[in-house]
Amino acid sequence: MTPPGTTSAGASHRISIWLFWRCFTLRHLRRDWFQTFLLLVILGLGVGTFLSIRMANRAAVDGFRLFTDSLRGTSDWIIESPNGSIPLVDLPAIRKAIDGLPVDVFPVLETSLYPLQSAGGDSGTTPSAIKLLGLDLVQLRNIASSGENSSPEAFWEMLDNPRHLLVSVAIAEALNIQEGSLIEATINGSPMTFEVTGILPRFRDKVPLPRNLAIADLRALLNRTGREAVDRVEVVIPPGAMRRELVPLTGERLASALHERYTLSTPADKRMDGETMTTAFRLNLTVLSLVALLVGIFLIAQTLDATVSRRRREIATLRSLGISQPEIYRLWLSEAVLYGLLAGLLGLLAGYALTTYTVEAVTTTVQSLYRETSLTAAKILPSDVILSFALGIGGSLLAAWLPAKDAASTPPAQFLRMGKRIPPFPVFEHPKIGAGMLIMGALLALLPPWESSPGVTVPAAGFATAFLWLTGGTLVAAALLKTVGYLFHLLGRNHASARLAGSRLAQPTSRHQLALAGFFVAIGMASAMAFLINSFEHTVTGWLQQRLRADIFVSSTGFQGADSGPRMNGALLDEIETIPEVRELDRFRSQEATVNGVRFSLAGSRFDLLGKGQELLWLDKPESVDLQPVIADAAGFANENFIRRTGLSKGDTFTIPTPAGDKTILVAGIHADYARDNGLFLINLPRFEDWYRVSDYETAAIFLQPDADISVFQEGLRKSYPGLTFRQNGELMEAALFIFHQTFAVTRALQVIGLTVALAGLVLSLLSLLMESGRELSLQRTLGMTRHEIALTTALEGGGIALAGLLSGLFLSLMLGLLLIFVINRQSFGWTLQATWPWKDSLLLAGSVFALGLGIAYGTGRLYMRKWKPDIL
Amino acid sequence: MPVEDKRKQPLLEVAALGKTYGKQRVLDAVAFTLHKGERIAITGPSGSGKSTLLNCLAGLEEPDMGTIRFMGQNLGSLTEEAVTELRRGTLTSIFQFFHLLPTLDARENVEFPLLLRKTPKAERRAMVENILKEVDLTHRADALPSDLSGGEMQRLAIARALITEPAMILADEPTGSLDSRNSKRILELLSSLTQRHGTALLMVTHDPVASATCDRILQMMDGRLHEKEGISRRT
Repeated sequence: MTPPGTTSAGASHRISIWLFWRCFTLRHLRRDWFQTFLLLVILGLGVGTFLSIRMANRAAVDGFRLFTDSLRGTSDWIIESPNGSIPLVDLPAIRKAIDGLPVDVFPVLETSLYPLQSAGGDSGTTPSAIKLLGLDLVQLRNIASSGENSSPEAFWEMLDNPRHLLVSVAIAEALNIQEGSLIEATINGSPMTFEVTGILPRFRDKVPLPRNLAIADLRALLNRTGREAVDRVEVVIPPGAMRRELVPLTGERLASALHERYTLSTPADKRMDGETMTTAFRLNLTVLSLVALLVGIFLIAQTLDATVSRRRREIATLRSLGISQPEIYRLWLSEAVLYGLLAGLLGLLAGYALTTYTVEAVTTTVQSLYRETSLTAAKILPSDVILSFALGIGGSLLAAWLPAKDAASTPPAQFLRMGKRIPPFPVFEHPKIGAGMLIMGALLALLPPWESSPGVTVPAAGFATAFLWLTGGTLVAAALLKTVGYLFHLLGRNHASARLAGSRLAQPTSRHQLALAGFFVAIGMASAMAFLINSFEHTVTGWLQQRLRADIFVSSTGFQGADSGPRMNGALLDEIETIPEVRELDRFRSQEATVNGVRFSLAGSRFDLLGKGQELLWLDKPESVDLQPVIADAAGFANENFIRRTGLSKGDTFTIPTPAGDKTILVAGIHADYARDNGLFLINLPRFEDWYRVSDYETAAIFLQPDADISVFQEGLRKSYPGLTFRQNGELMEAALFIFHQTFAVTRALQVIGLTVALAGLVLSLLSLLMESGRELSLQRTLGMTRHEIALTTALEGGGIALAGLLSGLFLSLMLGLLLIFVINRQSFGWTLQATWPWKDSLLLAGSVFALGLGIAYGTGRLYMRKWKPDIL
Repeated sequence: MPVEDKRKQPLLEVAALGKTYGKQRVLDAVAFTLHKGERIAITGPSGSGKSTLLNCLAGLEEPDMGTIRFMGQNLGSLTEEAVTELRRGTLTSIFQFFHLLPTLDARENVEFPLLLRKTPKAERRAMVENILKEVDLTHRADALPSDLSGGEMQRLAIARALITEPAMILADEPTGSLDSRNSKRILELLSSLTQRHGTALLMVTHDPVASATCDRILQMMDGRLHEKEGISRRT
């Protein structure tokens, strides 16, 4: 070690910090190990939650890449048709467009396969889908860099088997199958039998294969499904010196040859599309995941504040030994850095552990609301490690700022005078500043959203409002704690514990106020989310009741609502339509289209049934029922997301390219639709079929003759069409609400985490208060208070914090809920929701949190008093 | 019964009391008797075991050996609840640093022991007003401890110790934090009030003036207790 007096100032500080850690910090950490552990768990959980949502979001976006990418690398160009399929007869033309160029062309058939053994048609749940790719296996084998393990004979033998199927390891494990096993499954509603002829490796060229992937030879699959078209054609330019020039050249040749009929894009466009589409959803989730982190930061502040309070004499001694105020400040912050480092490490582990759950939940939501995505395993990137430590250390430093200032500035003389309580942080003594922030937040909420890309709006001002309300509300809530204290004091006039607890709450320390802040944020956010979800559920239920008027609803087994999900073969519906019991059959089919640079779903449905069974929930009704416009090729109805994203309004027209040429459409009315948030425009089905020449459908609605027995008919259909799912009104409602609840599964998990962290914070806070009240406890015992009475005082103190947190938190949740419903939700997703306060949930939450707060506080007091030893008074 | 006879009755009998912390013997065969209404001062250097003795007498710490008989009852054989009950009214304490409950005002601090004893409200109120008058703090009844002077805080602590009409008060350096003027006032108050209420006093003190106000002075040295010869005034 360098002798003192010969070092630079920097070296001297380094030594000081190390000495401080070694002689004080680490010893205190060891002595109060449980509190340290709890503190690190809280911050670690906060960091971990944020990290897991980040990783899950990334995994969901990663899932937007093409399933074929993992098999033979990323394509350079993707050719698609506006109606979703490219006839086989057009393939030579595509090849001809790039004739002479050394590029590979891959026609791809992409469909979904549903194993019948796990398909629970009656349960209302959807079986896991297997993504089935039809590829030219001979071509794939030729260009594969790693080669196949099987012999050439076995490979050709496999191709000779028309029922062959290669499945992923995950599918083989899930279905308990091996090579040679038969799988009974359905494709587009038609039942088929496959024979497993091979298991795909977990990785190919170190790229993990999607878990739900199966492959069959393109020709065999076309034959079996009776299709004469592929879904897309992918073009790959092999590596080599010419590649740089070949990529744009191929693109130009394809664009000029195909622009009339097909669209040309790159995988990056596709991925960007998915990213853009889910921006608002992912951003909302990320903001929500910050709650646990925010509550954690309050709790760290609270603990460090308590540590300052307990170690005040030590600080005084250090000061008397010549350590300056700024140095005390720095040393205290350095202690926070140590906490942050440990919490960052813990957060990384917690984040990875939580990701297993969040990836599935986020992917499910994206699948239900947006488009099909593969379930991709989450990866920890170096940036996650850096972020984890940055959040841990940043959060700790932020939390340590006030306590460190307090440590450095409190004069030692303060403690010579006994009987004086440490005043709380001055910032908590200014509820007027808090009220000002609440008002400023309300004004910000009136601002319009920020448009990040065409059709994608982010409620930046709404988030700022939420932040201002959370911080400003904390200051206002601190004043409420005093009121609760006076109330306890008043009501408990004749009771020693109540009076003591009331007086302590009426003159709160910063520990009380920080614990309350944690509670306030957690209750406010959790309850606001419950408010939003309840309003959503209420609105969606009303909408479903309006929409679901048919007797039986049909979809392909495994259909989850995404536009690219499995469809039903139209021939099957034609058959059903001829059954005498069927009075009417409506079909629904959607297609991606673009207007003003915004992607949306154009869909066909029978308009002649509107008002005669099929109903829409109108937000702006069409003036006339005559839907034969003079100024356009068709008239139709937009949902509100379409209006918000495209900027069009009722009476406007827009033009889109279709296989039948450019078509102009009139916006004749606006309706509510909560199934998708990327915009939906309905036109009359015959027109849609005419323009897009489709032969498959996503859903269908059957209206039966008045005398038909619905259940008997449904049972008959189930037997005749095992690949289709038939649901009655109530069943579909149940299934829709099941998907709805699944969609909010992550949100609910985050609510629970936030509340758990807040309750852990209450324990931490009360433990800190008890630990720093050693002498006061001795005094109470000397005055004749029993351990039970002291624990009861602690319980009432904890109950008071919980009560103030509940009251202020519920008020915050009302404000935040309205902000979420009318500003953030509307600006992010464009849904009009009917605000419905969840009385039952709120009462349950309030009751259980208050009871838990009381119980935990009593337990903490009791446990502490059991091990308590008297101080010398 | 005449006051002199009452005083002859032993209130507290301590016999062969021993207490060890690790290898250090803090109390070593401590024995003495205190009669009703009697005032005893215990003096001795820091670390001689005075505070440990007070904690044992208050039932907050258990001695390793010996017995403490208070009003005929062996403290060691009582349950924790029974000892706590004693501290609620019969055996109260005063401290060097006053130790008032910081969040309760002066009136509430005095009232607190009565709340623990569940004394009816009207009776409680009258008792509080009386004792505040006795210690001359009626005008400061609504003040928080942090707003009181040292002398006022100790007067308040005395009022709190006396409000339950205890049989004995344990006082640990009651003038240790006060200037000479306030010390004098507190000692006079303690003397007059304990005499008036017939309360015995066991006072640990370094202050010769304080010890001089007591009937007997006991000297504590290395855990052992010796009677200072020629100092005992009243026995």
